[in-house]
Order: sequence, then C-alpha cells, then structure tokens
Amino acid sequence: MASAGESGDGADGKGVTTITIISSDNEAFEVLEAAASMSLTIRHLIEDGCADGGIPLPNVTAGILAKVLEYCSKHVAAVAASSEAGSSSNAADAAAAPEKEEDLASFDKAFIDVEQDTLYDLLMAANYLEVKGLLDLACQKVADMIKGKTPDAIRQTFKIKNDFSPEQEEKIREENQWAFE
Amino acid sequence: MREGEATAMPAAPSPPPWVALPLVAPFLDAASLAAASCVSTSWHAAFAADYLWARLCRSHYPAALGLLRQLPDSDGAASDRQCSSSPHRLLFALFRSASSRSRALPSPRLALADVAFAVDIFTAGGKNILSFAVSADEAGDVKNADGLFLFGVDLSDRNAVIGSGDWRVMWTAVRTAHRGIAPAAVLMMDAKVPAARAAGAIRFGGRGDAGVAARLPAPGCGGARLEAEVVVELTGEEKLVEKVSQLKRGSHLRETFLAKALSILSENNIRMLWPTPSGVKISALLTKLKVC
Repeated sequence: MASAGESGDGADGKGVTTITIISSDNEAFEVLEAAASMSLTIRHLIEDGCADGGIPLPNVTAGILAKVLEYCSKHVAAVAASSEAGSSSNAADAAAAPEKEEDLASFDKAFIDVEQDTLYDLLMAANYLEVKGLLDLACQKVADMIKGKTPDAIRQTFKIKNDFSPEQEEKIREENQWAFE
Repeated sequence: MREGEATAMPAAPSPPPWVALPLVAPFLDAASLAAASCVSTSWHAAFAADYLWARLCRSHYPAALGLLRQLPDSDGAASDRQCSSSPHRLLFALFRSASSRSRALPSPRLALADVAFAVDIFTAGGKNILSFAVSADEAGDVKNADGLFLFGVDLSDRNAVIGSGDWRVMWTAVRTAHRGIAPAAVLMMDAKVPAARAAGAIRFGGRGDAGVAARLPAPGCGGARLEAEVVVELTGEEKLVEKVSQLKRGSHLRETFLAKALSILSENNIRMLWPTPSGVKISALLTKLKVC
C-alpha cells in the first residue's frame, strides 16, 4: 500500500511502505519503514514478521517516540537525498551535498538541545531501540555537559547528591588529583 | 509539539539514570572521566570501572600494561568495596603524573629490582609502533667495563610500522612498589625523532641517522646534569630492502637495550640500544655531564 511518508521529501510514488509503531501509552505513529528501520530493534521485529497491526513499544512513551521518529525520518531522508545527489549528473545537486551535510549537523544540534530529563529519555530510548546515531548524539551531549568541570560543578549541573563519606571523598580526590593539576 | 514536551515551567531536572552513565563514559577524555568519578558513589562505580581505564592505557601508555604485575592493585585498606581502586586506573594516573617534572628523581639507594623502564613509540599519526616494559633487574650477566647492564626483551611477532614524519618516543622510568612504598614514575623523555630518513633508508638500502636530545632535571646534589638522547641509526645491510612487515612469524625480534638505574649511576652512561633484523637501531644515550 503506497503512501507518502510523513517526511514528504522522500516520496516519489515508487511504492514506499509505512509501518505503525505504538507507544507505551497507546499512541500510534505511522512512519516510513525505511525510517523506522534506523532502529535495529524495530528492524528485527519487522524482519521477524511482527509488524502486522503495528509494533508495540512498551518502554517508550509517545512524546519520546515522536522525537525518535522525527530523528529517524530526517536522517533517512538525508541519506536518500545524498545518494540521489551522488548518482545525479546534475552539478547543482552534487554541489549542494556538503551544504546538506551542514543542514543535518545543525538539525542534530538543535534537535538535541532539550531539557535534561528529555535528553536522558532520548538516550535511554535510543539505547533500547538501537538507533546508533541518536545514541551517540545524546551521549556526546551529556559528555559535553561533563567535560572540563570540577566534581562540584558536575553535581550542580546534574543535581546529584554527594553521598561519599568524608574519608571516601578524601581518598578518591587524592587518587584523581592528577586530573585537577 | 506533542504531549510530554514541556510547555509550562519545567520542574527541577532529576539526575541521569545510572544505566546511562556507562553509555556516556566512552565519550569522555581521561581528565573528565576522573572528575566524573568523584561526583558520587554511583558515578564512581560507573566511571572508575577498570575496563574504561584499560582502554585509555592502551591508547595513551601501552607500555605501561607490561607493568601491571609489578604494581599493587587495590589498596589493602579499602575495605569499602565500592571505593577500591582499579589497577588500570592507578596505572594511568601514575603515567599521567610522570610528566610533571616537579617530581624529584628517585633517591640514591635504589635497587635495580625496584626500577622498570617503559618505552612507547608512536608514528606521527598516533599509531603505536612499539611498546614494551622491562624490569631493570632482568639484566643478563653482561657487564662491560663501563658498568653498563644489558637487557634482552623478546618481542617476537612484532610488526613495526615505520610511518613518516616524526616518531614520538616516550620513555618512562618507574619505581615500582616495594616494601610498602607507593610507586612513582618520572617521564625521562617525550621527544620527536624524524623517521623520514629512517624510512627512506629502509626502502632504498642506504644509510641514515636522526637524533634528538632531551634533558632531564638534575637529581639533586652535585650540580650534575643528565641528558638523554635518542638516536636512530641505520646500517647499510642487504636486509634493509626487506620490508619490516615481512618478518617471518616466530622469528625473534630481539630488542636489546642497555640501561642502568638512574640513581645508582653517578659517573656512568646509560645507553639503550635497540637493533632489529631490518637494521634499524634505536639507542638512547643517557650521559651525565659535569657542570662547573
């Protein structure tokens, strides 16, 4: 059953299939199979023939699932566009390729600029759904929030309670002194 | 916008789920990893995990891995399981702090058994050509008149990549733990050696040499100065046309180097020679100069 995907750009009437994904709170999302397959977890379920009637994801809520699928749709469209540009003899298309890469990079940057709780939810969802690009993006973002900070600053950023005993803390500080020199 | 995306004032964020921490760990550099492990007990469990530091040792200080046996692992006093140290983390910390030259060289009365040398050589691109660690007391009984000691290191099956540009040679002396004294390390040399002439000579069978010198801090009394020098020498042997990678498996690539514990030395030289079947010699010359 051919239908234009929600991302729009990739559809050229060649009969692209869509599948339905169902969030833990019972919201259904229809996406291109190619986009959904960016999740290895979903891809395996499709390959195992479990996609009829929709794929339920009991671990992912609608809000986060929407974001993940947005990421996948955008990236799958970009991959399709760049392979078109690659095989196209149109010089303008080929010249536009690095620009499109930049577009994707700025999309990613804006995409991952979210509240901390959403960031963690995205990270966990990307891990569970095995969407490598999104997992790397989220992990890098968290890592950037840690880099260059003292332990105290890290605690403030992430709202973490220092639960070391004074002796433990002393010992651990000493062991890691080299990092503060 | 879908439900779940906050539109009103968000509540204060909660800490990251602990399962996310190991996923983030590979994206951190060593210093950030260390800082992160000081944050809380659960962060310590995630970021002080030995496998993370083993990986960092492998990329930064591969030779150090040869010293694992000789260094203490967890501190006996740490009955608190969650705070006991990991051996690779200690190793990394030791080698990272070795380059802080403010550390004084080991005091005079040092036994050879207490000293080990760790040598790492990288190409300009960061690829590890060779790494080894050897305890200073593995000397054979070859002592020449100068009072030099000879060490044999069997590194069979080694494919040494020559590369181009400069080699980076790191030579660290480690006082391994003995009788309750904590290990200490000093970076004797972190220098660049131009490999181009070496590579050219290997390909075309000529002669070449390149050298670099690095200075060590004075050991203390006497006003003496120590100099370390790395020299790459090639001989014009027929074997040179043979590419290093074609060495037969199982053939012994005998790297031999002469070294002597710094602190015992007062009037002698330290020389480290490293001949290979392909004729590439790497020698480190450590001489003491008298300063008036």
